Amino acid sequence: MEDMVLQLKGIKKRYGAQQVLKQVDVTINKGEIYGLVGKNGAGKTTLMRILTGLTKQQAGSMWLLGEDGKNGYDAARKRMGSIIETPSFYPFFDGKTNLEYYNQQLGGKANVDEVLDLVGLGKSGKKKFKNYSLGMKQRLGIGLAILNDPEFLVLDEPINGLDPMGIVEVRNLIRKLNQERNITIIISSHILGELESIATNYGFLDKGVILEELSKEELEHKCRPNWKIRVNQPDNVLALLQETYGFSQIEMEEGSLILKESLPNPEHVTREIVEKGYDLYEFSMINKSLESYYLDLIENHKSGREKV
Amino acid sequence: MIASLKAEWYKLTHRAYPFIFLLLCMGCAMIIALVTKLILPMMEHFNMGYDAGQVLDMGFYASSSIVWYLLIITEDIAFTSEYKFRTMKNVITRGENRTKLYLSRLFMACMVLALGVVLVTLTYMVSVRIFYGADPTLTLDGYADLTKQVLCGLFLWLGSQSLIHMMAFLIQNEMLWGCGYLAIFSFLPNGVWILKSVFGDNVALDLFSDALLTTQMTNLVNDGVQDAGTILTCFLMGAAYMIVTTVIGILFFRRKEVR
Repeated sequence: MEDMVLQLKGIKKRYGAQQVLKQVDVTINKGEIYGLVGKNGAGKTTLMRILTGLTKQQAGSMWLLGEDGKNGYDAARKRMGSIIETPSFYPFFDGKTNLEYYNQQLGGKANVDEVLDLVGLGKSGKKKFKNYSLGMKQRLGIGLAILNDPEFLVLDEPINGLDPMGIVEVRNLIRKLNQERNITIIISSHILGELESIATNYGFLDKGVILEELSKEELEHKCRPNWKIRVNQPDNVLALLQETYGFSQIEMEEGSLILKESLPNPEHVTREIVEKGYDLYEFSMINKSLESYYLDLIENHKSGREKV
Repeated sequence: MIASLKAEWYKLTHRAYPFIFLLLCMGCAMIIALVTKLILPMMEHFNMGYDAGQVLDMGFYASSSIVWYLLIITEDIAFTSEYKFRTMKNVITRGENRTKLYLSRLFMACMVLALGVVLVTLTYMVSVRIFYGADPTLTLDGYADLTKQVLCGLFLWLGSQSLIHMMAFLIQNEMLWGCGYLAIFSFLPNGVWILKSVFGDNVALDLFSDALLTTQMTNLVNDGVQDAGTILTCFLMGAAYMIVTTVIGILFFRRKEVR
């Protein structure tokens, strides 16, 4: 419980006839970068809006930075920062005036210049927010989120619409905040490749349900490469490999063998097959990305539901 | 609450819009005083002359109805299109109390209104004094009467300000709350008048009509000089509007989903 930053149990939210969140259970511990994975419309933003108090859940419980809701979550949210959807500021103010306004609102303890420097806007001068590029807007949004040194950051699609350079900058900034300031972060995105490069934990959300939660290590284990072996006598080679190496996770798919186990020395296997006189047509590695894992998960969940 | 007020003050003082608007209103007050002076010889020619005392008195008549409309700008200054720019979420997500947010912006709107009314009235008084010089009809009583009239009006305007503030917080579309407010203040008194002419005298309609801020303002304009009783009535009416609309506004805003 000490290390826990957020725990959601059975969160449900409905808008009119549409049940946006059906069953959301999430646990985030201190120091994690939790990647909330989900396609558009999965319910990511609604979940973020519930966390930040912009809307309320209709069912379920939330434990947030030590607050369980008995006295409201306002105290906990004072220790949080967020970007929900797009960063919004007064267009007629420059970045510094915008941040200073919110700094005053939050008690005036933060050093706005320092925050602007940290997010790379220290030299933006008198340029008004309405004239900012998308990347600058996003960085100012992160600047607002980290005012008053929050312990927990909620970032909803922070790399949406950024150019490749902007994506790299924001990614590095998020990593820096997590590593140097020990800020726990929940970040949502539908650009899975981006989450893969920064997240330490994942939650897969589809149609308002968290399908699975796992750590980066668990995901890597599940996404470890498979091997495709195409030979002239697959049945015999299957028996050979099972006998010689004790492989249990090997199966036949469309005339090829698919080995779903880690293989530290693949050259030993190829040599063994060839030396035993079989013709080896293909020996290739099949990589499984976060994206394909997510798609498989959705597919399995869907077929599971259909069976029920 | 202090932090919220400080932030709102910071926002207000870092924009040109409130100052330009105030200067325009003060300029208008000066122009009205100047124009009456310039066209006075012409009016005397038509045997329709007036004196400086009457011009001073006119200050309230001129502002009594126009301020109803200017309140939309005052609210816009304080509310700063928070829904349009979607900036409300920036403070709500940081655990800021919604009641505090509502009240700090209401306080700022009322302060802008009160400050504006005081400065514009003073500008008008000083302009009349400058343009008409030491006219014998410009008496201390005349200045005191205008001050009392404006004070009565201010209480009613503040009540109205809290009504429009409630609408701004509850209706996300600026055009909609602006037009809704105009509809209430422009058409409601006329609607009551039409109903009265159709159904004749009716106690419920009379009570409803008496509860309208515009009715009270019309009475003020018609009565001219105000006594302590009228000032108290206006204060109570303005306060009642402010309390009722603020309570409703806060209750709704606390449950409102912010985009």
